[in-house]
Amino acid sequence: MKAIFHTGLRSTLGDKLGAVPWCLVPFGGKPLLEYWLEWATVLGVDDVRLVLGDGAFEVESFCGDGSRWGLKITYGFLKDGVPPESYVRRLSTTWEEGLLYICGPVFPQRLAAETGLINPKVLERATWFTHDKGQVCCLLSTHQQDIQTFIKGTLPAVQTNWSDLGLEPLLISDLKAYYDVNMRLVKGENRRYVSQGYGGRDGTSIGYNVQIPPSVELIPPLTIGNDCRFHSIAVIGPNAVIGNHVIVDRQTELADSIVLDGTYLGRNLEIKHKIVAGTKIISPEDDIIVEIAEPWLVATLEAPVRFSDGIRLVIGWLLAVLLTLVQALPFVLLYPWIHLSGGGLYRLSARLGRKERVVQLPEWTILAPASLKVRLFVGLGLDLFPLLVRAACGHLWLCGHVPLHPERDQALRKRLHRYYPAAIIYPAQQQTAYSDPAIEMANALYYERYASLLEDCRTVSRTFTRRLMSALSE
Amino acid sequence: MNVQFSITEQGVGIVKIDGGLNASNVDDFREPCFLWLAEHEAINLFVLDLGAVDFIDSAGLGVLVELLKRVSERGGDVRLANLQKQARIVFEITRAYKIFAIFDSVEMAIQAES
Repeated sequence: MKAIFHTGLRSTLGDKLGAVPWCLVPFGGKPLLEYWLEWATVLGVDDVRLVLGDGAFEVESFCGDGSRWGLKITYGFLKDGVPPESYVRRLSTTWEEGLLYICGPVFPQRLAAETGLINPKVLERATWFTHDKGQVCCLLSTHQQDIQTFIKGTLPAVQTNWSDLGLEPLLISDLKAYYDVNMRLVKGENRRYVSQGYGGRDGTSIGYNVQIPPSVELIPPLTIGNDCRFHSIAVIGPNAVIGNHVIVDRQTELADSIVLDGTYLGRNLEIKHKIVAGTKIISPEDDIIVEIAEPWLVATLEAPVRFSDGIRLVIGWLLAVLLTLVQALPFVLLYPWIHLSGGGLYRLSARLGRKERVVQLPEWTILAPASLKVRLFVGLGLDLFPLLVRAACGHLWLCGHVPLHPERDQALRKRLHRYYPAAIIYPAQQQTAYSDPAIEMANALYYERYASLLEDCRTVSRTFTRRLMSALSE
Repeated sequence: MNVQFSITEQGVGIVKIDGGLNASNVDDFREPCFLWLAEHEAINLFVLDLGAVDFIDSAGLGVLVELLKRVSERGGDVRLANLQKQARIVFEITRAYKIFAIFDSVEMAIQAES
Protein backbone atom coordinates (compact mmCIF):
# COMPACT_ATOMS: atom_id res chain seq x y z
CA MET A 1 0.00 0.00 0.00
CA LYS A 2 1.10 3.55 -0.71
CA ALA A 3 0.26 6.79 1.04
CA ILE A 4 0.02 10.40 -0.02
CA PHE A 5 -0.14 13.10 2.65
CA HIS A 6 -0.76 16.73 1.72
CA THR A 7 0.94 19.03 4.21
CA GLY A 8 1.22 22.14 2.09
CA LEU A 9 -2.36 23.34 1.92
CA ARG A 10 -3.44 26.37 3.92
CA SER A 11 -5.39 25.58 7.05
CA THR A 12 -7.16 27.77 9.58
CA LEU A 13 -5.53 25.69 12.31
CA GLY A 14 -2.06 26.68 11.10
CA ASP A 15 -3.03 30.28 10.44
CA LYS A 16 -4.44 30.75 13.94
CA LEU A 17 -1.76 28.92 15.88
CA GLY A 18 0.90 30.27 13.60
CA ALA A 19 3.99 28.86 15.28
CA VAL A 20 4.74 25.78 13.19
CA PRO A 21 3.38 24.24 9.97
CA TRP A 22 -0.08 22.91 10.81
CA CYS A 23 0.89 19.30 10.16
CA LEU A 24 3.47 19.61 12.96
CA VAL A 25 1.02 21.10 15.46
CA PRO A 26 1.16 18.83 18.51
CA PHE A 27 -1.74 16.66 19.59
CA GLY A 28 -1.19 15.38 23.11
CA GLY A 29 2.43 16.48 22.79
CA LYS A 30 3.07 14.72 19.49
CA PRO A 31 2.98 16.28 16.01
CA LEU A 32 -0.09 15.46 13.91
CA LEU A 33 2.14 14.16 11.12
CA GLU A 34 3.57 11.54 13.46
CA TYR A 35 0.07 10.12 14.03
CA TRP A 36 -0.34 9.82 10.26
CA LEU A 37 2.98 8.05 9.88
CA GLU A 38 2.19 5.67 12.73
CA TRP A 39 -1.16 4.91 11.13
CA ALA A 40 0.60 4.23 7.83
CA THR A 41 2.92 1.80 9.63
CA VAL A 42 -0.02 -0.06 11.17
CA LEU A 43 -1.69 -0.34 7.75
CA GLY A 44 1.49 -1.85 6.29
CA VAL A 45 2.24 1.11 4.04
CA ASP A 46 5.77 0.99 2.65
CA ASP A 47 5.93 4.10 0.52
CA VAL A 48 4.82 7.55 1.68
CA ARG A 49 4.74 10.62 -0.54
CA LEU A 50 4.63 13.92 1.37
CA VAL A 51 3.38 16.89 -0.62
CA LEU A 52 5.04 19.97 0.82
CA GLY A 53 4.20 23.66 0.85
CA ASP A 54 4.60 26.25 3.61
CA GLY A 55 7.10 25.07 6.22
CA ALA A 56 8.58 22.53 3.83
CA PHE A 57 11.95 22.64 5.55
CA GLU A 58 10.52 21.92 9.00
CA VAL A 59 8.41 19.03 7.68
CA GLU A 60 11.31 17.50 5.79
CA SER A 61 13.65 17.95 8.78
CA PHE A 62 11.15 16.22 11.02
CA CYS A 63 10.47 13.22 8.78
CA GLY A 64 13.84 12.68 7.12
CA ASP A 65 13.77 9.56 4.97
CA GLY A 66 11.13 7.93 7.16
CA SER A 67 13.43 5.24 8.58
CA ARG A 68 12.30 6.23 12.12
CA TRP A 69 8.93 4.72 11.31
CA GLY A 70 10.20 1.99 8.97
CA LEU A 71 8.82 3.87 5.99
CA LYS A 72 10.28 5.21 2.78
CA ILE A 73 9.32 8.88 2.50
CA THR A 74 9.72 10.90 -0.68
CA TYR A 75 8.72 14.52 -1.18
CA GLY A 76 6.92 16.53 -3.79
CA PHE A 77 5.31 19.92 -4.33
CA LEU A 78 1.98 21.05 -5.69
CA LYS A 79 1.30 24.51 -7.04
CA ASP A 80 -1.12 26.75 -5.11
CA GLY A 81 -4.70 26.46 -6.33
CA VAL A 82 -4.30 23.07 -8.03
CA PRO A 83 -6.76 20.43 -6.74
CA PRO A 84 -4.88 18.18 -4.29
CA GLU A 85 -6.19 14.94 -5.80
CA SER A 86 -4.55 15.89 -9.10
CA TYR A 87 -1.25 15.00 -7.46
CA VAL A 88 -2.39 11.38 -7.26
CA ARG A 89 -3.35 11.55 -10.93
CA ARG A 90 0.07 12.76 -12.01
CA LEU A 91 1.93 9.89 -10.37
CA SER A 92 2.65 6.95 -12.60
CA THR A 93 2.34 4.58 -9.64
CA THR A 94 -0.34 1.93 -9.75
CA TRP A 95 -2.57 1.53 -6.73
CA GLU A 96 -3.06 -2.24 -6.77
CA GLU A 97 -2.21 -2.59 -3.11
CA GLY A 98 -4.27 0.38 -2.07
CA LEU A 99 -4.02 4.05 -1.20
CA LEU A 100 -4.04 6.02 2.04
CA TYR A 101 -4.66 9.68 1.29
CA ILE A 102 -4.81 12.53 3.81
CA CYS A 103 -5.34 16.13 2.84
CA GLY A 104 -5.80 18.68 5.59
CA PRO A 105 -5.75 18.63 9.40
CA VAL A 106 -7.24 15.19 9.99
CA PHE A 107 -6.60 13.47 13.29
CA PRO A 108 -6.73 9.66 13.01
CA GLN A 109 -8.49 8.97 16.27
CA ARG A 110 -8.16 5.39 17.48
CA LEU A 111 -11.26 3.93 19.04
CA ALA A 112 -9.27 1.43 21.13
CA ALA A 113 -5.69 0.71 22.09
CA GLU A 114 -4.82 -1.60 19.20
CA THR A 115 -1.22 -1.50 18.12
CA GLY A 116 -0.73 -4.59 15.96
CA LEU A 117 -0.81 -4.63 12.18
CA ILE A 118 -4.30 -4.65 10.71
CA ASN A 119 -5.48 -7.96 9.26
CA PRO A 120 -5.14 -7.60 5.45
CA LYS A 121 -8.48 -9.36 4.97
CA VAL A 122 -10.28 -6.43 6.61
CA LEU A 123 -8.76 -4.13 4.01
CA GLU A 124 -9.64 -6.24 0.97
CA ARG A 125 -11.60 -4.37 -1.73
CA ALA A 126 -12.99 -1.77 0.64
CA THR A 127 -13.06 1.99 0.74
CA TRP A 128 -13.28 4.37 3.63
CA PHE A 129 -13.34 8.11 3.23
CA THR A 130 -14.17 11.32 5.05
CA HIS A 131 -15.00 14.47 3.17
CA ASP A 132 -15.60 18.10 3.93
CA LYS A 133 -18.02 19.85 1.56
CA GLY A 134 -17.33 17.29 -1.17
CA GLN A 135 -13.55 17.53 -0.82
CA VAL A 136 -12.00 14.25 0.32
CA CYS A 137 -9.79 14.91 3.33
CA CYS A 138 -9.05 11.29 4.21
CA LEU A 139 -9.36 8.19 2.07
CA LEU A 140 -8.27 4.62 2.57
CA SER A 141 -9.03 2.27 -0.25
CA THR A 142 -7.97 -1.05 -1.69
CA HIS A 143 -10.73 -0.98 -4.27
CA GLN A 144 -9.26 -0.14 -7.68
CA GLN A 145 -12.44 1.29 -9.13
CA ASP A 146 -13.02 3.54 -6.13
CA ILE A 147 -9.44 4.79 -6.30
CA GLN A 148 -9.87 5.61 -9.98
CA THR A 149 -13.16 7.41 -9.19
CA PHE A 150 -11.41 9.44 -6.51
CA ILE A 151 -8.50 10.29 -8.81
CA LYS A 152 -10.99 11.63 -11.34
CA GLY A 153 -12.19 14.06 -8.67
CA THR A 154 -15.48 12.48 -7.60
CA LEU A 155 -16.45 10.77 -4.38
CA PRO A 156 -16.54 6.95 -4.39
CA ALA A 157 -20.12 5.65 -4.39
CA VAL A 158 -19.97 3.31 -1.41
CA GLN A 159 -17.98 3.61 1.77
CA THR A 160 -17.32 1.26 4.63
CA ASN A 161 -17.74 2.29 8.23
CA TRP A 162 -14.46 3.54 9.74
CA SER A 163 -15.21 1.81 13.01
CA ASP A 164 -14.48 -1.54 11.30
CA LEU A 165 -10.85 -0.40 11.35
CA GLY A 166 -11.03 0.69 14.99
CA LEU A 167 -10.31 4.22 13.93
CA GLU A 168 -12.16 7.37 12.98
CA PRO A 169 -10.52 10.33 11.23
CA LEU A 170 -11.56 13.65 12.77
CA LEU A 171 -11.36 16.78 10.70
CA ILE A 172 -9.95 19.50 12.94
CA SER A 173 -11.81 22.42 11.50
CA ASP A 174 -11.42 24.92 14.34
CA LEU A 175 -9.54 25.59 17.55
CA LYS A 176 -12.36 24.21 19.67
CA ALA A 177 -12.02 20.81 17.96
CA TYR A 178 -8.25 20.98 18.41
CA TYR A 179 -8.61 21.78 22.10
CA ASP A 180 -11.18 19.03 22.65
CA VAL A 181 -9.01 16.35 21.03
CA ASN A 182 -6.03 17.37 23.15
CA MET A 183 -8.07 17.30 26.34
CA ARG A 184 -9.36 13.81 25.48
CA LEU A 185 -5.81 12.66 24.80
CA VAL A 186 -4.41 13.94 28.05
CA LYS A 187 -7.32 12.51 30.01
CA GLY A 188 -6.39 9.01 28.89
CA GLU A 189 -6.82 8.47 25.17
CA ASN A 190 -3.09 9.00 24.57
CA ARG A 191 -2.53 5.48 25.92
CA ARG A 192 -3.94 4.25 22.60
CA TYR A 193 -0.92 5.63 20.75
CA VAL A 194 2.83 5.31 20.93
CA SER A 195 3.87 7.21 24.03
CA GLN A 196 5.69 10.49 23.58
CA GLY A 197 7.38 10.55 26.97
CA TYR A 198 8.04 8.65 30.19
CA GLY A 199 4.87 8.12 32.12
CA GLY A 200 3.30 6.73 35.20
CA ARG A 201 -0.03 5.00 35.68
CA ASP A 202 -1.58 8.22 36.91
CA GLY A 203 -1.75 9.73 33.42
CA THR A 204 1.51 11.64 33.61
CA SER A 205 3.79 11.70 30.61
CA ILE A 206 7.07 13.61 30.83
CA GLY A 207 9.72 13.94 28.14
CA TYR A 208 13.47 14.06 28.62
CA ASN A 209 15.53 16.94 30.03
CA VAL A 210 12.71 18.45 32.08
CA GLN A 211 13.67 20.39 35.22
CA ILE A 212 11.06 20.28 37.97
CA PRO A 213 12.03 21.76 41.38
CA PRO A 214 10.52 20.08 44.46
CA SER A 215 8.17 22.99 45.12
CA VAL A 216 6.41 22.54 41.77
CA GLU A 217 3.09 20.76 42.10
CA LEU A 218 2.22 18.38 39.27
CA ILE A 219 -1.42 17.34 39.20
CA PRO A 220 -2.12 14.50 36.74
CA PRO A 221 -3.21 13.90 34.10
CA LEU A 222 -0.68 15.93 32.17
CA THR A 223 1.72 15.70 29.28
CA ILE A 224 5.04 17.51 29.24
CA GLY A 225 7.38 17.56 26.24
CA ASN A 226 11.16 17.62 26.10
CA ASP A 227 13.55 20.34 27.34
CA CYS A 228 11.11 22.13 29.63
CA ARG A 229 11.81 24.21 32.76
CA PHE A 230 9.42 24.84 35.61
CA HIS A 231 10.21 27.40 38.28
CA SER A 232 9.35 27.16 41.93
CA ILE A 233 5.78 27.03 43.27
CA ALA A 234 4.30 26.56 39.80
CA VAL A 235 1.19 24.38 39.69
CA ILE A 236 0.85 22.26 36.55
CA GLY A 237 -2.29 20.31 35.80
CA PRO A 238 -4.71 18.73 35.76
CA ASN A 239 -5.23 18.34 32.01
CA ALA A 240 -2.19 20.28 30.88
CA VAL A 241 -0.56 19.54 27.53
CA ILE A 242 2.84 21.19 27.37
CA GLY A 243 5.01 21.07 24.27
CA ASN A 244 8.78 21.02 23.88
CA HIS A 245 11.07 23.89 25.00
CA VAL A 246 8.56 25.51 27.35
CA ILE A 247 9.48 27.61 30.39
CA VAL A 248 6.90 28.19 33.12
CA ASP A 249 7.95 30.87 35.58
CA ARG A 250 7.33 30.82 39.33
CA GLN A 251 3.88 30.75 40.93
CA THR A 252 2.12 30.26 37.61
CA GLU A 253 -0.87 27.91 37.52
CA LEU A 254 -1.66 25.97 34.39
CA ALA A 255 -4.67 23.69 34.01
CA ASP A 256 -7.00 22.46 31.24
CA SER A 257 -4.70 24.14 28.76
CA ILE A 258 -2.35 23.52 25.87
CA VAL A 259 1.02 25.24 25.63
CA LEU A 260 2.70 24.91 22.27
CA ASP A 261 6.43 24.47 21.66
CA GLY A 262 8.86 27.28 22.44
CA THR A 263 6.64 29.29 24.77
CA TYR A 264 7.54 31.22 27.91
CA LEU A 265 4.86 31.76 30.56
CA GLY A 266 5.66 34.59 32.96
CA ARG A 267 5.35 34.81 36.73
CA ASN A 268 2.20 34.45 38.74
CA LEU A 269 -0.14 33.83 35.83
CA GLU A 270 -3.26 31.72 35.80
CA ILE A 271 -3.79 29.88 32.54
CA LYS A 272 -7.00 27.88 32.49
CA HIS A 273 -8.99 26.61 29.49
CA LYS A 274 -6.60 28.29 27.08
CA ILE A 275 -4.23 27.50 24.23
CA VAL A 276 -0.94 29.39 24.46
CA ALA A 277 1.10 29.57 21.27
CA GLY A 278 4.09 31.85 21.75
CA THR A 279 2.66 35.32 22.34
CA LYS A 280 -0.88 34.24 21.46
CA ILE A 281 -3.41 33.41 24.15
CA ILE A 282 -6.39 31.67 22.67
CA SER A 283 -9.71 30.99 24.27
CA PRO A 284 -10.95 27.97 22.28
CA GLU A 285 -14.51 28.18 23.61
CA ASP A 286 -15.22 31.49 21.91
CA ASP A 287 -12.37 31.46 19.36
CA ILE A 288 -10.78 34.64 20.70
CA ILE A 289 -7.10 35.19 20.03
CA VAL A 290 -5.22 37.82 22.04
CA GLU A 291 -1.71 38.75 21.00
CA ILE A 292 0.27 39.78 24.07
CA ALA A 293 3.19 42.05 23.28
CA GLU A 294 4.70 41.98 26.76
CA PRO A 295 7.52 39.47 27.10
CA TRP A 296 7.24 39.33 30.89
CA LEU A 297 3.74 37.83 30.51
CA VAL A 298 4.12 35.42 27.62
CA ALA A 299 6.78 35.20 24.94
CA THR A 300 8.10 33.07 22.15
CA LEU A 301 11.40 31.51 23.03
CA GLU A 302 13.92 32.17 20.33
CA ALA A 303 14.50 29.16 18.12
CA PRO A 304 18.01 27.82 18.57
CA VAL A 305 20.30 28.95 15.81
CA ARG A 306 20.81 26.11 13.39
CA PHE A 307 24.42 25.09 12.99
CA SER A 308 24.29 25.68 9.23
CA ASP A 309 22.80 29.16 9.84
CA GLY A 310 25.61 29.93 12.28
CA ILE A 311 28.23 28.99 9.69
CA ARG A 312 26.40 31.02 7.04
CA LEU A 313 26.19 33.99 9.35
CA VAL A 314 29.91 33.99 10.18
CA ILE A 315 31.16 33.38 6.62
CA GLY A 316 28.55 35.81 5.24
CA TRP A 317 29.72 38.48 7.66
CA LEU A 318 33.39 37.95 6.70
CA LEU A 319 32.47 38.16 3.03
CA ALA A 320 30.39 41.29 3.66
CA VAL A 321 33.36 42.95 5.41
CA LEU A 322 35.65 41.97 2.54
CA LEU A 323 33.24 43.27 -0.13
CA THR A 324 32.77 46.50 1.85
CA LEU A 325 36.53 47.08 1.98
CA VAL A 326 36.90 46.34 -1.73
CA GLN A 327 33.98 48.58 -2.74
CA ALA A 328 34.66 51.47 -0.35
CA LEU A 329 37.08 53.44 -2.52
CA PRO A 330 35.24 53.07 -5.87
CA PHE A 331 31.96 53.94 -4.10
CA VAL A 332 33.42 57.08 -2.52
CA LEU A 333 34.77 58.17 -5.90
CA LEU A 334 31.76 57.33 -8.06
CA TYR A 335 28.67 57.95 -5.94
CA PRO A 336 29.10 61.69 -5.25
CA TRP A 337 29.70 62.21 -8.97
CA ILE A 338 26.54 60.25 -9.91
CA HIS A 339 24.48 61.89 -7.23
CA LEU A 340 25.52 65.42 -8.17
CA SER A 341 24.93 64.78 -11.86
CA GLY A 342 21.42 63.40 -11.14
CA GLY A 343 22.21 59.83 -12.22
CA GLY A 344 20.69 58.16 -9.18
CA LEU A 345 20.27 58.35 -5.46
CA TYR A 346 19.38 56.38 -2.33
CA ARG A 347 16.06 56.69 -0.58
CA LEU A 348 15.53 55.41 2.93
CA SER A 349 12.76 52.91 3.47
CA ALA A 350 11.56 51.17 6.65
CA ARG A 351 12.23 47.41 6.50
CA LEU A 352 12.36 44.45 8.84
CA GLY A 353 15.98 43.65 9.59
CA ARG A 354 17.52 40.82 11.55
CA LYS A 355 15.71 39.84 14.77
CA GLU A 356 12.58 41.53 13.35
CA ARG A 357 13.90 45.01 14.14
CA VAL A 358 12.58 47.81 11.96
CA VAL A 359 15.54 49.49 10.25
CA GLN A 360 15.82 52.22 7.65
CA LEU A 361 17.47 50.72 4.58
CA PRO A 362 18.78 52.67 1.58
CA GLU A 363 17.08 51.76 -1.71
CA TRP A 364 18.95 52.59 -4.88
CA THR A 365 16.94 54.51 -7.46
CA ILE A 366 18.31 55.09 -10.95
CA LEU A 367 17.35 58.43 -12.46
CA ALA A 368 19.46 58.27 -15.65
CA PRO A 369 19.77 54.62 -16.73
CA ALA A 370 21.56 55.34 -20.01
CA SER A 371 24.46 57.11 -18.30
CA LEU A 372 27.82 55.35 -18.60
CA LYS A 373 28.87 56.08 -15.02
CA VAL A 374 25.54 54.74 -13.70
CA ARG A 375 25.97 51.54 -15.74
CA LEU A 376 29.48 51.18 -14.39
CA PHE A 377 28.25 51.87 -10.85
CA VAL A 378 25.57 49.19 -11.07
CA GLY A 379 27.77 46.83 -13.09
CA LEU A 380 30.35 46.79 -10.32
CA GLY A 381 27.61 46.21 -7.78
CA LEU A 382 28.41 49.49 -6.01
CA ASP A 383 24.69 50.20 -5.55
CA LEU A 384 24.78 47.35 -3.02
CA PHE A 385 27.52 49.03 -0.98
CA PRO A 386 25.29 50.64 1.72
CA LEU A 387 23.49 47.33 2.20
CA LEU A 388 26.79 45.47 2.42
CA VAL A 389 27.85 47.95 5.12
CA ARG A 390 24.64 47.07 7.01
CA ALA A 391 25.47 43.38 6.58
CA ALA A 392 28.99 44.02 7.87
CA CYS A 393 27.42 45.78 10.88
CA GLY A 394 25.28 42.71 11.53
CA HIS A 395 21.91 44.29 10.65
CA LEU A 396 21.39 42.07 7.60
CA TRP A 397 22.45 38.68 6.31
CA LEU A 398 24.72 38.72 3.28
CA CYS A 399 22.34 36.62 1.14
CA GLY A 400 18.73 35.82 1.71
CA HIS A 401 15.28 37.35 1.53
CA VAL A 402 14.24 40.75 0.30
CA PRO A 403 14.03 42.90 3.46
CA LEU A 404 10.28 43.07 3.98
CA HIS A 405 8.21 46.13 4.71
CA PRO A 406 6.92 45.93 8.30
CA GLU A 407 3.29 46.57 7.31
CA ARG A 408 2.89 46.03 3.58
CA ASP A 409 4.57 42.60 3.55
CA GLN A 410 2.91 41.15 6.65
CA ALA A 411 1.22 38.34 4.70
CA LEU A 412 4.53 37.15 3.26
CA ARG A 413 6.25 37.45 6.63
CA LYS A 414 3.60 35.22 8.20
CA ARG A 415 4.24 32.50 5.61
CA LEU A 416 7.97 32.43 6.30
CA HIS A 417 9.04 30.36 9.26
CA ARG A 418 12.62 31.57 8.94
CA TYR A 419 13.35 35.04 7.69
CA TYR A 420 16.80 36.10 6.46
CA PRO A 421 16.70 39.79 5.45
CA ALA A 422 19.75 40.30 3.30
CA ALA A 423 21.92 42.66 1.29
CA ILE A 424 22.11 40.40 -1.75
CA ILE A 425 18.87 38.87 -2.93
CA TYR A 426 17.69 37.00 -5.99
CA PRO A 427 16.29 40.08 -7.79
CA ALA A 428 19.60 41.88 -7.21
CA GLN A 429 21.20 39.10 -9.22
CA GLN A 430 19.08 40.14 -12.17
CA GLN A 431 19.16 43.89 -11.50
CA THR A 432 15.39 44.09 -11.43
CA ALA A 433 13.02 44.67 -8.61
CA TYR A 434 10.15 42.23 -8.90
CA SER A 435 6.78 43.76 -8.57
CA ASP A 436 4.87 40.50 -8.92
CA PRO A 437 3.98 39.33 -5.38
CA ALA A 438 3.76 35.71 -6.57
CA ILE A 439 7.39 35.80 -7.74
CA GLU A 440 8.48 37.49 -4.51
CA MET A 441 6.65 34.80 -2.56
CA ALA A 442 8.19 32.01 -4.65
CA ASN A 443 11.70 33.49 -4.21
CA ALA A 444 11.21 33.87 -0.47
CA LEU A 445 9.89 30.32 0.00
CA TYR A 446 12.59 28.92 -2.26
CA TYR A 447 15.35 30.59 -0.26
CA GLU A 448 13.80 29.51 3.04
CA ARG A 449 13.90 25.93 1.82
CA TYR A 450 17.33 25.92 0.15
CA ALA A 451 19.28 28.37 2.33
CA SER A 452 22.85 27.09 2.55
CA LEU A 453 26.41 28.30 2.32
CA LEU A 454 26.65 26.90 -1.21
CA GLU A 455 23.49 28.73 -2.26
CA ASP A 456 24.89 31.97 -0.79
CA CYS A 457 28.20 31.59 -2.61
CA ARG A 458 26.31 30.89 -5.83
CA THR A 459 24.11 33.96 -5.32
CA VAL A 460 27.08 36.27 -4.63
CA SER A 461 29.10 35.04 -7.59
CA ARG A 462 26.13 35.18 -9.97
CA THR A 463 25.10 38.62 -8.79
CA PHE A 464 28.46 40.24 -9.47
CA THR A 465 29.22 38.24 -12.64
CA ARG A 466 25.87 38.95 -14.25
CA ARG A 467 25.98 42.62 -13.35
CA LEU A 468 29.41 42.98 -14.86
CA MET A 469 28.51 41.03 -18.00
CA SER A 470 25.37 43.09 -18.40
CA ALA A 471 27.26 46.38 -18.05
CA LEU A 472 29.89 45.27 -20.55
CA SER A 473 27.35 44.06 -23.11
CA GLU A 474 25.51 47.39 -23.01
CA MET B 1 -8.57 57.19 23.66
CA ASN B 2 -11.64 58.99 24.89
CA VAL B 3 -12.62 59.14 28.59
CA GLN B 4 -16.02 60.38 29.77
CA PHE B 5 -16.97 61.07 33.38
CA SER B 6 -20.47 61.30 34.78
CA ILE B 7 -22.29 60.98 38.10
CA THR B 8 -25.56 59.10 38.48
CA GLU B 9 -28.51 60.17 40.61
CA GLN B 10 -27.38 57.66 43.24
CA GLY B 11 -24.04 59.44 43.43
CA VAL B 12 -22.04 56.78 41.64
CA GLY B 13 -19.13 57.93 39.49
CA ILE B 14 -19.19 56.42 35.99
CA VAL B 15 -16.01 56.42 33.95
CA LYS B 16 -16.47 55.36 30.34
CA ILE B 17 -13.32 54.52 28.42
CA ASP B 18 -13.27 54.24 24.66
CA GLY B 19 -10.35 52.48 22.90
CA GLY B 20 -7.43 50.36 24.05
CA LEU B 21 -5.85 50.94 27.44
CA ASN B 22 -2.16 50.33 26.99
CA ALA B 23 1.30 51.74 27.63
CA SER B 24 1.03 54.25 24.79
CA ASN B 25 -2.10 55.99 26.09
CA VAL B 26 -2.33 55.11 29.75
CA ASP B 27 -1.35 58.65 30.76
CA ASP B 28 -4.31 60.01 28.78
CA PHE B 29 -6.47 58.07 31.20
CA ARG B 30 -4.49 58.42 34.43
CA GLU B 31 -4.20 62.22 34.60
CA PRO B 32 -7.83 63.25 33.94
CA CYS B 33 -9.14 60.33 35.95
CA PHE B 34 -7.15 61.07 39.11
CA LEU B 35 -7.87 64.79 38.75
CA TRP B 36 -11.60 64.05 38.54
CA LEU B 37 -11.26 61.67 41.48
CA ALA B 38 -9.68 64.42 43.57
CA GLU B 39 -12.40 66.87 42.59
CA HIS B 40 -15.15 64.48 43.75
CA GLU B 41 -13.99 63.36 47.14
CA ALA B 42 -17.55 62.69 48.26
CA ILE B 43 -18.00 59.90 45.73
CA ASN B 44 -16.98 56.52 47.01
CA LEU B 45 -18.27 54.15 44.36
CA PHE B 46 -16.84 54.24 40.85
CA VAL B 47 -17.94 52.09 37.93
CA LEU B 48 -15.62 51.76 34.97
CA ASP B 49 -17.52 51.05 31.79
CA LEU B 50 -15.05 49.02 29.70
CA GLY B 51 -17.54 48.10 26.96
CA ALA B 52 -15.52 49.96 24.34
CA VAL B 53 -12.09 48.82 25.54
CA ASP B 54 -10.83 46.22 23.13
CA PHE B 55 -7.46 45.59 24.72
CA ILE B 56 -5.70 46.14 28.03
CA ASP B 57 -2.02 45.52 28.65
CA SER B 58 -0.06 45.43 31.91
CA ALA B 59 0.30 49.24 31.95
CA GLY B 60 -3.48 49.53 31.61
CA LEU B 61 -4.00 47.00 34.36
CA GLY B 62 -1.50 48.89 36.50
CA VAL B 63 -3.45 52.13 36.30
CA LEU B 64 -6.70 50.33 37.16
CA VAL B 65 -5.02 48.79 40.22
CA GLU B 66 -3.67 52.23 41.17
CA LEU B 67 -7.18 53.66 40.88
CA LEU B 68 -8.59 50.86 43.04
CA LYS B 69 -5.90 51.47 45.65
CA ARG B 70 -6.60 55.20 45.88
CA VAL B 71 -10.36 54.72 46.09
CA SER B 72 -9.99 51.92 48.66
CA GLU B 73 -7.80 54.17 50.81
CA ARG B 74 -10.70 56.57 51.19
CA GLY B 75 -13.10 53.73 51.93
CA GLY B 76 -14.60 53.39 48.46
CA ASP B 77 -14.77 50.76 45.73
CA VAL B 78 -14.09 50.46 42.00
CA ARG B 79 -16.25 48.12 39.92
CA LEU B 80 -15.73 47.10 36.33
CA ALA B 81 -18.57 46.63 33.89
CA ASN B 82 -19.01 45.40 30.30
CA LEU B 83 -15.61 43.75 30.16
CA GLN B 84 -15.03 42.67 26.58
CA LYS B 85 -13.69 39.24 25.66
CA GLN B 86 -10.23 40.38 24.55
CA ALA B 87 -9.67 42.36 27.75
CA ARG B 88 -11.25 39.60 29.81
CA ILE B 89 -8.49 37.16 28.81
CA VAL B 90 -5.85 39.55 30.17
CA PHE B 91 -7.79 39.83 33.45
CA GLU B 92 -8.00 36.04 33.61
CA ILE B 93 -4.37 35.18 33.02
CA THR B 94 -2.99 37.90 35.31
CA ARG B 95 -5.48 37.01 38.08
CA ALA B 96 -6.66 40.63 38.10
CA TYR B 97 -10.24 39.32 38.30
CA LYS B 98 -9.51 38.40 41.92
CA ILE B 99 -9.09 41.99 43.04
CA PHE B 100 -11.80 43.68 40.98
CA ALA B 101 -15.54 43.22 41.19
CA ILE B 102 -16.59 42.59 37.58
CA PHE B 103 -20.19 42.94 36.37
CA ASP B 104 -21.97 42.34 33.11
CA SER B 105 -23.43 45.83 32.91
CA VAL B 106 -23.11 49.27 34.48
CA GLU B 107 -26.58 48.91 36.02
CA MET B 108 -25.66 45.65 37.73
CA ALA B 109 -22.45 47.22 39.02
CA ILE B 110 -24.38 50.14 40.50
CA GLN B 111 -27.09 48.01 42.07
CA ALA B 112 -24.81 45.32 43.52
CA GLU B 113 -24.38 45.32 47.25
CA SER B 114 -20.96 46.22 48.54
